[in-house]
Amino acid sequence: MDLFLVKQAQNGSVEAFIQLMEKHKIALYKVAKSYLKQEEDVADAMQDTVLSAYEHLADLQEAAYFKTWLTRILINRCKDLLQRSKRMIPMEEWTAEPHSPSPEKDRAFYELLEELPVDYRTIFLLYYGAGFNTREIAEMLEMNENTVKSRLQRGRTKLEQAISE
Amino acid sequence: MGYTEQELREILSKDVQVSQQVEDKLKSTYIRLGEQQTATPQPEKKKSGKRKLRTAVAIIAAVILVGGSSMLAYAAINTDIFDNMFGNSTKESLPAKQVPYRKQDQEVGKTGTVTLPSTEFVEVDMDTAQRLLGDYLMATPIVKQLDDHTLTITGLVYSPNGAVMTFTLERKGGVTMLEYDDEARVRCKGAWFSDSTHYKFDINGGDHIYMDTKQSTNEKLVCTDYVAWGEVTTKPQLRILHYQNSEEEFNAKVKEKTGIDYDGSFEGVPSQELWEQIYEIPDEITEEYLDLTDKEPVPIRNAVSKTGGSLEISPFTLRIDVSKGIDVDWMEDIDAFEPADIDFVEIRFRDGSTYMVEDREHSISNIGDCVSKSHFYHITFNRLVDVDQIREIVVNDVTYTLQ
Repeated sequence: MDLFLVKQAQNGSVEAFIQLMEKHKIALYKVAKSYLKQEEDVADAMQDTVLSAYEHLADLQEAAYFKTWLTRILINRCKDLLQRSKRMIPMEEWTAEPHSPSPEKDRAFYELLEELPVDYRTIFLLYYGAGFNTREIAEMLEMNENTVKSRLQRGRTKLEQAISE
Repeated sequence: MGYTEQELREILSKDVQVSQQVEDKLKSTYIRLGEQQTATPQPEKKKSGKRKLRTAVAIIAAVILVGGSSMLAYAAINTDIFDNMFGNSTKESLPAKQVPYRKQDQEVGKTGTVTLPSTEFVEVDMDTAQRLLGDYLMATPIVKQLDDHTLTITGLVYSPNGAVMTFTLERKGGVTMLEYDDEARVRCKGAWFSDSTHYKFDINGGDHIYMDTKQSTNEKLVCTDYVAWGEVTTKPQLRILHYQNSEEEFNAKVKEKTGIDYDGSFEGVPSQELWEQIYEIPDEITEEYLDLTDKEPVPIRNAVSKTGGSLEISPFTLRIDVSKGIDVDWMEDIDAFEPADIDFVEIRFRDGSTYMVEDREHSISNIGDCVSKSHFYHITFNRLVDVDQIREIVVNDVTYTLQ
């Protein structure tokens, strides 16, 4: 489906582009939530991502990489926002500060996210939640693939420690 | 460990609810994009500006109304598919036309004239299309690479008696797989596969390809394939034939081996020795079948005549049993009838309107495809029919009513 819609969107179809965004909206939202705490910031990051993706869609040469490309745009927007507003939230603060209220049905998701150290949160989300492999995650986060692998490994250990404490 | 791998996967891959704040921001962004597109029309898109704006506004409205439901957004884009299948936004109705032809047999060398029937396309009501076909429309487009051509099947609906499929065919530098001319692309045989192609495809053995020149470019053809199946089919499949040699290449190899100019047939009866030479030319053909959809077939309804005849009708197919209740010339030796004996098919609706499907006497043919097999005559329509609104169906001089 993505291949078809990406091609349609690249040919100028705003309908196809909106469908793509709607299709990936939840996955993007989850990634944004792994970086940003305030809902306002999440909304800004997602809006910037939509506009940037629309503007640069013609530059995407391989439609098959759309999801990776889009996620990378979002991650960069999140990082930009964090840098601009100095709202980098260490794990302790992320857990301690009040969140935007989340629906009860999503409690397990947010609890798990909170248990993860901030440096590991997005990697876990991309690996377990979005199905990207370690090479793709390394490219998106601009880090060594071995770093991704070791953070996945260490993250599991830290989760275990956090739960046993 | 606190979480197993499976638990991590299940929890983190689960859909979460997007906050209203984010939803609202996305909606306003979509509207902004729609306005931006309206202000800056993009030349690559072949639709008219008016139509493009209408569709963009429709989809944005759909997203806003349902709080971003992607289901409705998908429904909105179906409008293009339904229009390509059964509408007339970009299709061209043609009047009847007399054309010369070269006579054969005893009169070979002489010319005569033949009348090409008129073909009319009509507007499709999108609400009706969605109601009748929405649940049966192929959900996921299929992209298939055929060497340097990209085949994208964008939509398909089928009944047990026929199918309508929309597709595009793309190739950088120009599509060479399909050929067409102004007449054939609409009526007669439709577009056809070129002599240079190594691939051909059809749906369960049938095809009648309408080439939409208003939407097509040199590098991208936009087509609708109407198929009337000769036999009841419950599993639509795309059959892709891969030829080791194109027609051109094979003919060239025949000439190289035999010294004879060959264009698919020989003058006179070829010798056994000549055939053996041709058989030695490697010419493998492989077949691949792709399942097109897991959707159910569009339901059919039965209609009967007082003379004991019966037919099956769906919103886009008709299957007439000519073995009973209707007078046709039955050819015992080949267990078939002369299709020309069915020379009038009309659908009359409760509101007094009619759909003239076929009227040979007045050279009218508003069909997508037709085929006769055994004692059945199959038609696939070039428009959508709301079966519940039918008062009667007339085939030749026999009237059928729905059961």
